[in-house]
Amino acid sequence: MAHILLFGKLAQAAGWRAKAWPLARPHTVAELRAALSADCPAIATLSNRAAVNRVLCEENTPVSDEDEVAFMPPMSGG
Amino acid sequence: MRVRVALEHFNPETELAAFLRDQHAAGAVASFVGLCRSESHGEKITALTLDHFEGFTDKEIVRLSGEAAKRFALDDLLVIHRAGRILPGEAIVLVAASSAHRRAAFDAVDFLMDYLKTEAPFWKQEETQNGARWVEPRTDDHTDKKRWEKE
Repeated sequence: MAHILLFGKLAQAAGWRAKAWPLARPHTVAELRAALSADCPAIATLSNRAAVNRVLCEENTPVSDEDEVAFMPPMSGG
Repeated sequence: MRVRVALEHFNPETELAAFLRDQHAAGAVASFVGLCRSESHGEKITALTLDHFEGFTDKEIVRLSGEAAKRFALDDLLVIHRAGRILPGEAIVLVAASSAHRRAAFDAVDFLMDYLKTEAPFWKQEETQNGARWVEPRTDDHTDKKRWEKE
């Protein structure tokens, strides 16, 4: 099971922060976004950056069933 | 270089005093403290909550601090950033940099604040008497960061 994490207003929009997501075959980040957008449409928005196993990644980054994938709205500290 | 994500209130005064005590060779220390405002858009703020990603947020702040250390001739650097619920008047962030001369220290703090504003993995929610709202990064924050890309 891939471990999906959401933060900020994305977590609020989806109504969850963490979810196990079965991946029968390897996906790219873009494919995972498309699959998850049925659950939370905002995940499809590219301004919500993705990190695989806590490393910021691109849309063609591969994701397997054991990965942690985080989707994050625009960041703002300070 | 020390970086810490603080889940509870911290006192910037005592943290800065401790940092100053450790500077034995530096000729300059510059610091910045960001505080939780009591008002925003004419509304009273009751609290600011910072969502963060444990294990990633700290790593990213270390990365940004490393960029500052590479770019400026620093002796030492301290970053403490709050996460969780912050009350008006409480510190959100403390950045302090020491160097042989003032310019590198000033610039490192300025640089790091611009990058923390736009690239540190935090998501802010303001609580007001009329409900809660997410705070988006401002256009100014991105313009400020671009100053460093031109050089």
